Amino acid sequence: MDAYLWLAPCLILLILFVLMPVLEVFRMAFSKISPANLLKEFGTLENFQYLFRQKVFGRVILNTAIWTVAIVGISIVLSIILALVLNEKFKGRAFHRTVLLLPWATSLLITSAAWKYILNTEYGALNALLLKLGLIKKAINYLGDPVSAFTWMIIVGIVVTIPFMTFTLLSGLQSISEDYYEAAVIDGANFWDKLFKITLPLLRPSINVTIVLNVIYVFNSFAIVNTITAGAPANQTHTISTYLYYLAFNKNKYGASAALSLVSFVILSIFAVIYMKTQMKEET
Amino acid sequence: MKKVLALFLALMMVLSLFTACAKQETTTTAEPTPAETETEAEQTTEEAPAASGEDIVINFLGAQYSDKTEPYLKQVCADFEAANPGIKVNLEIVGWDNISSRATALVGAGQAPDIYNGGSASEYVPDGLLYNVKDIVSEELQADFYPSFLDNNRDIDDGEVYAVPYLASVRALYCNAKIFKEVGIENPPKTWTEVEEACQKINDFYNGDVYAWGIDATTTEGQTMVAYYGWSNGGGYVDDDFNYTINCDANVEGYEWAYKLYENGWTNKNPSMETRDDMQKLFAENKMAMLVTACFFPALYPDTEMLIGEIPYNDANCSSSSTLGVQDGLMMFNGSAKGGEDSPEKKEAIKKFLDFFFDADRYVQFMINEGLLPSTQSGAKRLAEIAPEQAAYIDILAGAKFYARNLVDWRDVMANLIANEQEMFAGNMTAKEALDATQAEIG
Repeated sequence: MDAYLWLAPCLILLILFVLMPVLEVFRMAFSKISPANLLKEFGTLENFQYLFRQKVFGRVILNTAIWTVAIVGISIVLSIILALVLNEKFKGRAFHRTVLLLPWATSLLITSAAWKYILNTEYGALNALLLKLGLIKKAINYLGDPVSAFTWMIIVGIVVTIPFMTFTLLSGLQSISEDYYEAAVIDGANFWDKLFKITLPLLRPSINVTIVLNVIYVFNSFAIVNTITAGAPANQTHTISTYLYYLAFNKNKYGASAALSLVSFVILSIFAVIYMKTQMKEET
Repeated sequence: MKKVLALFLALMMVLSLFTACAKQETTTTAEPTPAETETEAEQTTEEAPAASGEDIVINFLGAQYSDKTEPYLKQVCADFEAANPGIKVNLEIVGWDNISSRATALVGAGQAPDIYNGGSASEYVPDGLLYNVKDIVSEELQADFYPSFLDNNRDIDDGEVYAVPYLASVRALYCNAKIFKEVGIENPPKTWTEVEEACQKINDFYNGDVYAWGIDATTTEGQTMVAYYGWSNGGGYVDDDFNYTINCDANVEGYEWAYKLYENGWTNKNPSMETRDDMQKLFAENKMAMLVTACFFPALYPDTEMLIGEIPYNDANCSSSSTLGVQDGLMMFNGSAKGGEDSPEKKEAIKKFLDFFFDADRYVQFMINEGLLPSTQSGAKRLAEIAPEQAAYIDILAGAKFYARNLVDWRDVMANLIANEQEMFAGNMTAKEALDATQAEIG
């Protein structure tokens, strides 16, 4: 009973700020909603029908998948390399660790706005630099076509994801005992043997958790896309998070927006289950 | 060394937390506004002034037009309270980007503001949430509004008016005087043919380094393309019975013409991403020669010399230009949006506040601050006396056409239109396909 008493504040917060909004979204998704956002009639699928009718719906889902897989996939590879480097003893290590953390300590909105400015065709720092170096003759329009714009946003996503990933992996690396490496050296193991036969297998639990946590985080990411392109051109660079905002506040379709939230909730729940299973596996 | 770094890091994190908290309490910045303002939008949550139990409280949710909006409105509210003991006005100013979501949240929670400047009345009328203007606005004030402005707010179904015009602006063609002089063009072009000639000259003179013409097809202003290129060719958004005519031949021809300017390399490179605000900056830096934009543009860049003309038209199909007028409304929520009927005293207080707000001497100061145009005849008269240059736009406004915002699906249709325009500029659709798709998507 005591346990419940101690859990109560947390449970109350969860119910108030997680469970109730989720239930409200459920209710909205299956209700007719007036343009003034008032619930009219429960028990309809028309929000889902409207959502699936949107010609960009498939593109939005595909973008979200590319967005999540590319950012998490590339970031994890780069983060492992960085974590390995930062785990070595060298002069100025503490400084480099601090520098790496700075992008993470900066607000995502500010980072995104800065990148939007860097990529601007007319005033952008990137074009100015390349023009000055003589590498290009005319300013490049980085955000003009969907593929180029989306690629650049993925790059920004990677830049802001790496710090957290690296530090999670670094803490994993630090928990690997030196004894293994000493024993391996005695047995004549080289750098690659140590990496593939000791470090990576022992780092696997950290990598798993990092991947699942970041999949959820990157999947829900809103600030980068909304700040840099807001879905343009032609709604081709939306992810689920920005598209549901667009549906609600640009198209006044609150019901369809709730329906999309629900789709996103289902997808993320699957990841949550994977996460729980990963955790339980480690415990047993 | 490590300790110093650790301390630095800890300090950074605490500071970032601190700034985040401070931001939440005071202001959040947003993207520039969609309607008639240039400066960065800000959202400010006002502390409610202490009101005694017997005070009547009026909640006013207003939009931020510029840095001057909030101080001005605060002063108006303070003056009103001083002149009317027993009435308090709670003012909340929100940036354009966030105002409709703020209003939606308040309406959804049954806590709608008494007075709201933003959005479109057509979104609230079907649920019966708004006062009919004749029940909440004094007869004198109703008579003072330009009748055509009030008509523009008339509900399509019952013919009643549910919002009063708060203020207005008109669009015009602005030409960069320095560029025109260098190239040797004397006057702003009046027709499409003249625009093409000017574009060709400017492009040749600067070898493509100066954009001759600006196009905004972003979510901020993309809907204006029908007004700029459709109306000026005899097309439009709707017919006389308010049926959408997005894909009419005149609009298609207008869009084809705009695309031709783009294809020839005479316009900005990225119409789907570059907003009016971006292009106004280019214009002020002498990198753009011609731009159709709102009448407050000269006030924003007073050092840039400009020639002002009317939106060019296709003289093969039209005999004169059509100007886009943009009007922001003020609506008053009734009891059903606020969880209880208003007392007669409260309704009287709202009426009084509106009279006070639109008093010509006071209201005209607001218009001068913002570079916008009054919606009352008394305000226009006063403006003509003290700021004749700004008042000159009022004559243009008298003949202006407005958006069909009284259609309930207006926002949805315009969002689709903009997405399809962007498909056109991406080369994925022709002008006809883009407009046909928009028309077909109308529910």
